[in-house]
Order: sequence, then structure tokens, then C-alpha cells
Amino acid sequence: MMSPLTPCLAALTAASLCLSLAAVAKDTAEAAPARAASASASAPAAKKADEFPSAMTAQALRIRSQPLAGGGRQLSLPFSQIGQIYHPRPIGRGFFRERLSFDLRTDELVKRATLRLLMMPSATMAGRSDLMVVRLNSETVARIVVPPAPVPAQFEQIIDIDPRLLTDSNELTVQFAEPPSCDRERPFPRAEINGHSTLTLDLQPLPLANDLSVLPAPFFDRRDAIKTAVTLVTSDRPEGTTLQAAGHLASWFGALAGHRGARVKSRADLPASHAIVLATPQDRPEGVTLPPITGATVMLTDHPTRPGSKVLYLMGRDGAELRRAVDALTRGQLPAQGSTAIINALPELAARQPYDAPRWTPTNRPVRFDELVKTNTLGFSGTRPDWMYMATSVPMRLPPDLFAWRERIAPVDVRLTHTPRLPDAAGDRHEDAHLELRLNHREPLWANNLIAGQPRRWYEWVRQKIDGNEKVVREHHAAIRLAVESLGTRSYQSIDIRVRHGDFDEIAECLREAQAENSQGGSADPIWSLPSTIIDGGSTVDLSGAPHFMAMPDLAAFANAAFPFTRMADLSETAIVLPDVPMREEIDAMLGVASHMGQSSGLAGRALEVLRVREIDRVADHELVVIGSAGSQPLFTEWSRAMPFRDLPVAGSRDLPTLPESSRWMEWLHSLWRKPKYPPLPQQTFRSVRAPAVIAGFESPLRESRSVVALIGETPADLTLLTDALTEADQLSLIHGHLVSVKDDTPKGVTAFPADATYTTGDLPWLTSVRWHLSDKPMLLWLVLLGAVLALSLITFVLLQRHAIRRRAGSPV
Amino acid sequence: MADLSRLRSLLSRLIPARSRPPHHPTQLPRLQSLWPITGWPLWEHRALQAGLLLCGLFLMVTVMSVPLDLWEQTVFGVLCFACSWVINRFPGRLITLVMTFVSLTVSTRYLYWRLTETLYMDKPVDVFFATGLIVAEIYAWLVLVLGFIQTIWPLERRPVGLTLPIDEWPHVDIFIPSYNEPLKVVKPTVLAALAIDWPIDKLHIHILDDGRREEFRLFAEEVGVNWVTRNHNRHAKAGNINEALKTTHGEFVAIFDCDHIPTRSFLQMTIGWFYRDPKLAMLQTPHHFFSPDPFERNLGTFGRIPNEGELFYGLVQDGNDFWNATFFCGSCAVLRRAPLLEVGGVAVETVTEDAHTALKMHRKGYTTAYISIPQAAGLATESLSAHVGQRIRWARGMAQIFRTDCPLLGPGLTLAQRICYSNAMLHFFYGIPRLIFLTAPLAYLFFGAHVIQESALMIAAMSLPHLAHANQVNSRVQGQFRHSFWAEVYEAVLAWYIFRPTLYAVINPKAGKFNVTAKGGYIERDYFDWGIARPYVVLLSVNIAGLVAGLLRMLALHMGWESLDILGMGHKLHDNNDQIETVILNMVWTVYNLMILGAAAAAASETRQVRQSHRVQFGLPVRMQGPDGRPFHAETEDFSEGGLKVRMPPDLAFERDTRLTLQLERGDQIAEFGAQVAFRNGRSHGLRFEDMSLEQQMDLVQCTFARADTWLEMQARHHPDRPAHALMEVFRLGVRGCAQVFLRRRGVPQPTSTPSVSA
Repeated sequence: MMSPLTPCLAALTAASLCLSLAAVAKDTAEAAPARAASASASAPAAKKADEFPSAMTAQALRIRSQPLAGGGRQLSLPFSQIGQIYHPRPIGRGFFRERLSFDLRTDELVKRATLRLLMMPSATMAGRSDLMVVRLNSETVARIVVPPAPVPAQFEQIIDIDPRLLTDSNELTVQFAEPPSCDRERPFPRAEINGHSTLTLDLQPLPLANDLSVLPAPFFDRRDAIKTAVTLVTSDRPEGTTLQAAGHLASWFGALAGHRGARVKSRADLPASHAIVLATPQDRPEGVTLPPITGATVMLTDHPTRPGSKVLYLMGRDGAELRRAVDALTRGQLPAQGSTAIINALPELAARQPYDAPRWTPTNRPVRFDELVKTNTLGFSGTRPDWMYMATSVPMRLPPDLFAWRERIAPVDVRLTHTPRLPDAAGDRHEDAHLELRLNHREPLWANNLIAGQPRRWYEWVRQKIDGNEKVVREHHAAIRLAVESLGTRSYQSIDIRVRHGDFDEIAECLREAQAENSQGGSADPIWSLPSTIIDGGSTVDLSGAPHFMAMPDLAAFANAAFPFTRMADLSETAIVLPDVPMREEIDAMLGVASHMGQSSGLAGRALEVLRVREIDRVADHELVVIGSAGSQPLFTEWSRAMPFRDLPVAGSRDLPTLPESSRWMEWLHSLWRKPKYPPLPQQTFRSVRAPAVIAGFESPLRESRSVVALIGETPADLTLLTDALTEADQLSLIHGHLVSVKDDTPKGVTAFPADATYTTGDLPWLTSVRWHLSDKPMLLWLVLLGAVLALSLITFVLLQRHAIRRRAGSPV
Repeated sequence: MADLSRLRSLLSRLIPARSRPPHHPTQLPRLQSLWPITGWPLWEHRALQAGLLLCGLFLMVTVMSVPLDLWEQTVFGVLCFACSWVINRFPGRLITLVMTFVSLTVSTRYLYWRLTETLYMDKPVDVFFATGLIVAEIYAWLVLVLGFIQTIWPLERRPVGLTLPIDEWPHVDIFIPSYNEPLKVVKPTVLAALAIDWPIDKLHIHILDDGRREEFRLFAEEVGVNWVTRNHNRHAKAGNINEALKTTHGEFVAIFDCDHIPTRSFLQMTIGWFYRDPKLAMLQTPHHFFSPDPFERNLGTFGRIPNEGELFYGLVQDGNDFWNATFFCGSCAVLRRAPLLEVGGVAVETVTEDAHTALKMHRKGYTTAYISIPQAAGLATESLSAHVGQRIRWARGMAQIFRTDCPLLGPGLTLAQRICYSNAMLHFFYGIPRLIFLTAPLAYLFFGAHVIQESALMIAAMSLPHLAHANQVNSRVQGQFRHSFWAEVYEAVLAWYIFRPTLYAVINPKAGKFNVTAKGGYIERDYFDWGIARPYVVLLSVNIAGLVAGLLRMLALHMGWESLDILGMGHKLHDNNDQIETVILNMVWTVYNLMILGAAAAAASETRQVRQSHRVQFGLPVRMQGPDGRPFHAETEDFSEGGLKVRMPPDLAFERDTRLTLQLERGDQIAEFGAQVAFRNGRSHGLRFEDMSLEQQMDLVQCTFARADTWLEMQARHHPDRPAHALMEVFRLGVRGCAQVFLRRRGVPQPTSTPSVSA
């Protein structure tokens, strides 16, 4: 799985990736015939190139976890997912090691570790047999002899690693054994590590104490890179409060899992793994022996039949107590010791403010860069070849309804310290330093030349003269304004910073590195000092000027940020509506949606309402998620007029009135008033989308400006498709528009139907609102102009006429 | 409501005949019934006035700033223009105001859009060219808006009579300054001045002869006028007049350039206003030229198309008068002596002493007035180079005033006066913007620079309404005085020559000397003035090269070529942003520029002047006697100082060299002249005067040039402005000009000239 930054970083490097991919592709194309020839000549040891997967496809790999026969599981970590994220970069002179970091769960023991290393040596390694070293946590685990000439296209090395070397957080290094030779004449070997290289680990669970302090382990471990899976156990026909508690719990796991995703399922009996039981005396799962219930209880015990697995009981004498137990768990207010806790009372929480979700970038104040990104990623030192920018992204997760229309701007205040490299003895070293800021990888919005070397102010000059080789450290302040029109509804935004310190000098870099290697931590010779640019963590970006307003419906906002439900991070304005008698799949869909919401906001939805159709009036002014199949959910029939499609396959809905066909002439006339951007939706029907499950967004028929997202399956089982789609990044990114149909669990199965907005949420300043509403109605704008012009002409006519009369009567003015 | 009836009765007079487009004679009575609403008493309320103004302005600003997409903008643009087009058929100043406000909104909207949405660029080449273009566009917008204000209500002042008893009429000095002009030029002016209707003892005519010529002294003595000289020539014309002010004492001073022949009614028409408005310090009348200026002669537009100066004298000065900002033009004006002396006589600090003098008088709180009735006529400049030289002087002078005595600053002026003066001065800075417009599309065609960061269609959708409305309003307001597209031709001719002097004058207002405008000469043969045409030839050439480059680009886009290798230099032909529409847009613009430049080049092709004396077309009744002594009546077709063309009665024809006697009437006096038939063409006979005595010369001038009604009809003869026709005309001339530059080279060695740019 990716680190939290990866989506931004991935996108940032998209451009560079394209460039470098092209370059690599070219290399491969050129080298291919030569390799083929050499391979046929001899070297039976080397496999043919096409027997190895291409480095290009490594990006699609996923971290996989499979259960092992003897208990425990096998985890395979492809290099492309644990550090070598973007591009297989050659290690060679200048960059002669590859570092990869990964974390492991604490409650598992590594039994066996195997590294499958796929490498592609470059042509310069011909005729040599260089040694490469693989290190794990600074211990050398293997030495690899790169096969001598003729150079194989790729070779494979299987290395067994001593599992004892692995800890919670690990660093794997692949580098040349010999320090780099910096002689310009001698070619230095290069090698590329294929992203398909994989570290495979056999993991055995460790026995865990039944202590509440270990929670949320074993259900969730933040070091675990894979999707979090949680099983809830409830009765077959759970009560409303139990459902609510389950939804609350699901959103908590979603919030914990974050980018990893969480899949929360429910069942009526204990599974063969960890499980969480929700029960009250009135509403208890059949076949599960419950401990006695004396109040709001949280209890962690061993699985009665599966050693190593745990069961967490959340119980109460009634629904309210059950909810209190869940609340105590999600708020972390459990005793530090013991396996059981009775929760008597919980302190009241302050009401949350809109848009204050922990995972969202605050939009009510300027935000410092160091709130958004680790400070150590804001420093840039050295030079890089053209294809490898020194770049970082300041990621932001903004509310999708940030109104970024046209010329609206967000001030960004960048402060940085630039230290130029020391003046050369000859003094002719070209110094060149540039900083570029982009928003979402668009064209640069601000580019500044940090021209170093020459003092800019008189006192710098004086100091430089007096101190001789004193470094000139410079502060740059710039208040720049970003056009934020590119924001859109995606959840991840970023300010991309790219720094360039002049041309890359491979030899100098190599010498510097060799020296660092030899001096073993001693200070490096200043002659090889590098320019550095450090961006101050106190730099800010201020998006507080943008109002919250959005044209709806837009399922992209739902998919990316669970908006508008997450506007209140504790989901206090959200209700999930289930059929009166929910099926298990419908409950699971509810849990999926809840965990999606938690994941989007980063906060457990403790105020989430989960209810059945008959109680709908209670939550009329909430944002609604309606779940059900065509046959089970009466609202779909009732609201068919408000929904963006018709023809649900239930009795009684077939006799919907056909829409009158408007003539082309009328459509054209209508477009003069307001031109639709998309074809009108009512033509879409359930049958015409040809998918068993759809997500539809529309305005709530109960309240203006409130949204409904409907998850509709042909049968309840089809809802699984939707729940899966909400946890898969590939499918999620395709969800937008009013209506999305999901056919299968691949990205290809997702079809979105965009349509024009039918309602809006949020408020605009009245002036902006006037302009916004005029901006798509040219005829109205024209009428306004006419009114303005008539008023002005009439009054100026009267005034000018008087003036003329006075002038013609001989008056001076 | 007393005001109401007064307003209504004035209304009919205030709706001017000239703002009715003559080609739309339809006047609907229904619209007239709209007028009375402006007389409603409700307009009296200050709160309503302020409310309407603020509300209207707010809505207008909103409309300016609302961004639209391509389709919406197209719909909006078409609606606006359709509306303007329909109401343009109706006469009246209210309609003009409506159209002006629509145009103002659309143009400001365009500029707002340009400034906010089209300037995000990072490539240095784009930034460089885009900066130039946006500066030029801001300038154009500013001049447009200031022009709207300046000409929002041409006052159309009528002469008022003098109510004093005749023996209390004031003394008037008439100054005729001259420096190096031949007596032949000055003579008719003096003779006409002598005939001005004014008590003989109160009319003092002075020839201010800076050339100190004996010939002039003799002539002055002979006709009995004052010959004033001084022993130096400091400050040229201004100094000359100031010197004469010291030795004369009349209450009023009328100034005529030595070639401006006044009509006899001049003082009767003008002095009255000085008694109606006691603060009046200067009253200006138009400069009228009875000979074609170089444009008219070289382009063959004399009498058909208004010349360059007509806009100024027909509309701008009249509009200035509304704001009390009419300025002195050096000639054909009456000044009150006291205010003139109060500001220290005619200003000498700048080379446009006249406008500066008026500015000084305005600062002192005096008023000026303008009567748009030609009361004098003169000769236009004789060649394009001389014309250009004159404009350079004006431009430099205006730039000097702008620097040394900026009308935006300093005391005593009203806001409107500041605006009018600034516009007059700003107008002369058109050199660089015009050159930018003439070359802007080349930035893309040659260098691929995207000077406007938008799709070509969007640019068209935004800029076309802006251009169309501005042209439409200007055509309506100015059409009688300047035809559509002609301003660009005039500016294109002068742009190159004018931008350096104005720039120098802004940098160093002290530099530069006065150069006298040469008049009264004639062009002996046709020639193409390569000297003066050089800038347009260069511009034409690069524009044609740009057209070729555009075709190449189009081909490259079509064929998908990425880059072109010329001389080892990789020249990128297009990038991903390029679209065929961009190329087409820029090429259309280039073709338009070629047309304007071609017309400018055509103006440099000097056409031979047929006669030494310029003929004035005018029908005078004339009584004639043939050799047989039988008298008969005929009517002149034209006249000049040397002869007449007469349309004889149907049954009469005379052979060449037949001697005729003719009598012209002036009031109850009859003047008799002898003439010979010089040529005959059907009923038209060209007559050449025999040698005339001074008495006869005076009679002739008084019966012809000095007639009060001679020049009244001249302005009405122009064809009405029809933009499509004007475009065709300019196009025709553009093609002609291009052909002259690139195809036809005459063998005759051509005299070349460069306008004197003295800095």
C-alpha cells in the first residue's frame, strides 16, 4: 500500500515519469536486439528478458496477504509499493544505493523472509563482475555477483534473510559493494532494480494479552499496510441502536485505517478469526455465549474455539448502554489495564464545527506547511539530473465544496532559506537556483530565481567581504496568490514545490559521496558542499477566502470525501436509511458506507443515525444515504420522480409517465436561456445502464439543498459490488456525476453518467452569488445590462440636457 | 411644472439633425412619444438621480465582470449587438446614450476579461509580446472612454446677435501673422479682412510680418492696413502675436493664419457671444480648407469622405464646448484682450501655443466657446511630408503641455475639462499602440507566441462585440465627420512618425523647435514618396511575410509536422495548445492590417496638382456680357483667384479666347471683371481673368471667398458613413497601395522627403 503522501507524489511525478519512461523505453528498444544476440551466443544462466515482468507494470502490484496452511499468513511486499514507488531509477555513480523502508505489525513474528531481487544491469557492466551488497537494517544479508558478460537483460536472485533481523520498522538497502570510482574516464556500472522484486514474509501471530490497552490491536495495526478487515457479530435482525453502534464502529475503523481502507462485515455467529460482538440482552446473536451484562461493557477475550484469535464484546443492558460502550472504545476512554471495563458515564463532547474533520486541511485559517508535511521533506540539497527533480508536495485534503470559481485566489506565503554552495576557487562555477510552485501539477504559478552567490543587500556584501568564506544564507519571503480554479472535487490537492540547483555534475556528486563514505561520518570537505534550499515549515497557504458552495449532485464528492455527509465530521447531519427488514448484505453496505465516511473524515461518526424507512421523518433534515434493493426499499418507488433515473424493476414503477419529447427547435431556444452541459438524465433507466448496482445522487425530496445518495442493487447481494467499489481506489476514482453503475469489481465495470447540477449546497457571498447565477444565463445577463443601461441613459440624458441648456444660455458651466 | 414645457420645447431643437443617420430617414412617431418621460418632474429628486446612477453603475459593473463560457458569451454578444443594431435605426440622443453605455459595458467587459483571464503565461516570449499588446489595448480603451465623454453631447452653439447700439461696438484688431509665405498667399486674406462687416473705424487690420519684407510693407500701405514688424523672431508665431499685442489696443483680437480667408460675417457671428457670456475669453470657429489635403488628393477622396481634420472641428471641439473645454487653434478665433494679457499673451513654452493658451485661460476660470460654422477658409498642407511634419509638431506640442502643464494636475479646471484636455493630449500618443496593433499577430505567426492565453474562438467571441459596438457608436456619433475605418488609415500613416517626437517630448519637453507648415505650393508631377512611405513598406513586407508564415503554420498543423529545421536551428512549429483557429484568427488580423497599411502606402503616392490656384465649387449668379454686348445671366460652377467656371445658358457657346465681361454682386454693389474663355466643355466654360487692379482683386475676393455663405454647404456634401462601404473603400485603397509598393515602380527619379523630426 501507499504512504499517505503517495497520491500526491505520484501525481507530481506523473510528468517526469512520462519523460523518463519514454527514455527508458527507448533504451530498452535499442538494447533489445543486442541482448537477444548475446543471449543466443552463450550465457545459458541468464534468462530471456521476457521471462521477467516488465518494470513498467510494477506500479499495478499490490501488497498481498495470504493465510498459511499452518496458521499465520504470508505477506508479500513488492518493491514498487514499499518505496521504489515511481520509477526504477538506476543505481550507479552519484546514486549508488537504493533504500526501501517498510513497517511490520508488532503482534506477528516473522518466521521466514525471502527476497526475490530482479535486476537489470546496464551495458557498462559488460565484462565485469561487480559485487552488489544487500543490507537489512545495516546488516549485510547478501552479496550478489552480477553475472559477467555478456550482460543478461535481467537476472534474478533469491536471497533468504535471517528473520531475526526484521523489526517493527526496517530499511532494506541495495548498493554496490565497491565505493564508486569517480574517475571520469572509467565507466561506472549501473543497475536498475525492477519494481517486481518482492520481499516475502511468513508471519506467525504472537499471543496477545487480553488487555484493553492493546486496542485497537489486534483488529487494526497502523504498521500493517494492507486493507483492514473487521468482522462484527450481531443478531440476524439487529435493532436500530445496534445498527447505529455498528455504523459508529465501522466509521471508527474507517478513520483508523485511513488510506489503507477498511472492510467491515457483519455476521450472526463467531468467525474463525478476530471478531467484535455487539449485543444487548434483547438483541443478541444466536449461538454466541455472552458474558453476563451488568452495564456498558467492553471486554476482550480469547476466541472460544480458535486459539490466537480474539473476541471483543461490546455490550449493554439496553441500546443506549451499548452505544456508550462503543463510544468509550472509539474515544479511547478505556482503562489502561484489565480485560473488562464497565463504562458508567462519559464526559460530554463539545459540538463539532463544520469542516473540522481531522483529515481535512483547515480552511478557516492560514495553514502552516509543517502541519501538512513532515519538515524534513522540505529541505533540498544538491543537484539532480533533469529527469529527477528535487520536488516535494505539500498535500492538502480540502472540502470538495470549496468554491474556487475563476479568478478566486489563495495566498501562499513561502519562506525559505537558500544556502548557495561555497564559491569555487576559480570562481567560475555556475550558480543557478530556481524554485517553482504549482497547484495540482498545473503550470507553474510562481517561479522564483534564487540566484545565489551574489549578495543582494549591502550588509550581506559587507559580511561576505569581512568573513571571507562566510556562507550567505538568505531568507525569501513571497506572498503569492494561487489561482485555485483547478481544485475540483477531488479529495487530494497539493502544492507542488520543485527546486533546481543548476546542472547536475555526476562526478562531483560521486566524489562527494565517496568522501562521505570514506570519512565515516566526519565532516565532508567543504569544497564539495552543495547548495541547499530549506523551505520553512512556517510557510502558509491560506484558503480561508473561498466560500463553501457547490453545485450538486456530484458523486465524485461522495466518492472522494464522502461529502456532504462529512461536512460535520461526527456525521451529526447524516442518516443512513435501511429497509424496514434489512438483509445482511444491506447491513454490510451500511457498514461499508460508514467506514468510507470515517475514512474520509478521519473521525468516528459518533452521531451517525442509522434507521429504517418507517422512521424517515425523524431525519428529514439530514443528509441521507438510502440503501436497498429495488424490491426492499420503498423510498425508491416513492421518490422516483426526484431520482435521476426511472424504471426500477419493481412492481408499480413501470407505469411512469413518459416524458414529452421536446423538439430540437425548442431545445435550441432553451439553450439560449441556459445551455445544458450534459444530455438530460431522465432518459437513463435502470435497464439501460445494464448493471446490477447503481449509486445515484439527487436532492432530498424532504428538504431543499439536502442530498440523498442512494445505493441500489437489483438484489441485496448486488450491493456488495458497491461496497467493494467504495474501498478500491481504482474504482473510486471513476465515480462522478449523478449516477454511477457498477457492473463488476474492476475499474472497467464502473460507468459514470454526468449531468447538470440540479441544486446547490452552501452559501455564497451575495455578490458572488449574483455573478455565479448570471454566468450561465446569457439572456438574463443581457436583460440586466438592458436595465442598467436604460437607467443610466435616462438619468444622464436628463442631466446632460440641463447642462446643455445652461451652456447654450451662456452660463460658464 | 414650468421646466417641463421649457424642456419639451427645447427638446425639439436639441435633437440634432446631425445625429440622425441620414441613410435611415424612417422616424417612427411612436418612439418620439418616449421623449416626454424625460420631462417628468420626478427626475428632479436628487435621491432618484443618485439612486439611478448608482444602481445602473452597479449593475453595469456586475455585467462587466461576469465570466461566461464560449456559448454563453456568443449568445450575450449577439443579443447585445442585435439590440444596438435595431435601435440604431432611430434618431435621437437618448438612443445614442443607450448605445454608448452598451458599448462602454461591452468594451470594459472585454478589457476586464483580458486582464483577469488571459494573462497567465510563463514563457518569456509570450510575456514580452503580451505586455505590449495589453498596454496598447488599455490605451485604446482609455481613448475610447474619454472620447465617449468628450463627445457625449455636441453643443451646437448658434451665433447670437450684438445688442449694443452701433457706436458702442468694440474695437477689434485682426492679426494676420506671416513669416515666409509669398504675398500671393497673404493677399486674399488681407483683402477679405478689409471687407469684414464692422464699423470701419473700429476694425484694425495688422499684418504681422516676421519676414520684414518690403513687398509686404508696400502692399499694406497700398490697401491701408497696419504693417507690424519686430527686430527678432523669438517664439515664432506666438512671439509675433505677443509683440503685436503691445502696440494694439482693441478690446478683441481676431487671429487668422495668413492663408485663412475670413468671410465678411466673421465678427458679426462671433462677437455677440462675448456680451452674452462676460467670462468668455475665446471663441473658436472651424478651420476650413478648400483645397484637398494630401490624403484627399492622393487617395481621391476629396469631397466624398471627410478628411482628417473634420472630426476635430466638426465634433470634438463642439463636444468640448459642452464641457467648456474648447481650445484655441491658432487661427479663425476671437480672443478678448484682457484675459489674453492676463495669462501673459499667447503661450510660448510649447510648440502648440494655441491649446496651451486656452488651457491657461481655463485655469483662470475663463470660458471658451465654439461655433461650428465655417467663417474662414484656407489651404490645406500641400504634400504628405508637410502634413506629417505638421502633425508631428502638434503631437510634440501636446506631449509638451502634458509634461510641463499637465491638465490632470494644477488648479482651476473642472473634472470634465481635465478629461477633455487629457484626451486631446493622449490622442497623440497613438503611435506606439497603433504600431503594436499593426504587428501584434506577427508575434504568433513568426514566433508562436500566445499573446492572449485563450482559445481563438473565445478571443473572437469576446473581442468582436467590443470592436463592433465601438465602431457602431463611433459611426453613429462621428459618421458625418469621419467614416468608419478611416481613423485607422490616418493613424497608420502617422504612427511611425509621431511616436518618436511624442516620446522625446515626454522625456524632455524643452527640446524641439517650431517648424512652419508650408502651404500654397503645388506638386508638379506624380511620384511615390518612398522617403515617407518607408515605414509602411517595411510593415507591409513583414506582414506579408507573416501571412506566408501563417500559411506554413497551417500546413504544418494539417500535416502534423512538429518542427522545422532551418539553418540548423530547430524551429518549433506548434505545440499542443495550437489550433487551426488560432492561425486563422491571426491571419485574418494580418490581412486587415495589410489593408490598412496598403491604404497608408497609397496615401504616400503623391498625385499631381493640376492647377496652381485651388478651385472652390460654388454656384454664384453672375451677370455676363458677351462680345456682342448682350447681357445674360449664368451661374458659376467653381471659382478661384485666377478664374471661374461658368455654366452658360443652353443656347450660348463661346470660342476660346473670347473676351467676356462679368459682373458679380455683393449686396448692392456690383463688381465688374474682364475674362477670356480658356476652355470649353459643353455648356461649361472655363474663364481666365485678365489682369486686375488691386481694387478688382479686392472685389473678387469679397464677392467670392469672403461671402458669408460660401463654406456652409461644404460639409454637407460628404457621403454618409456606411461602415460596409467604408470598409470596401479602404480595402480598395489597400489593394491599390500594395500594388503601388510591390508591383509598379516608376522610372522617373523620385524626390524623397523625410518629415523633419527635430528633437
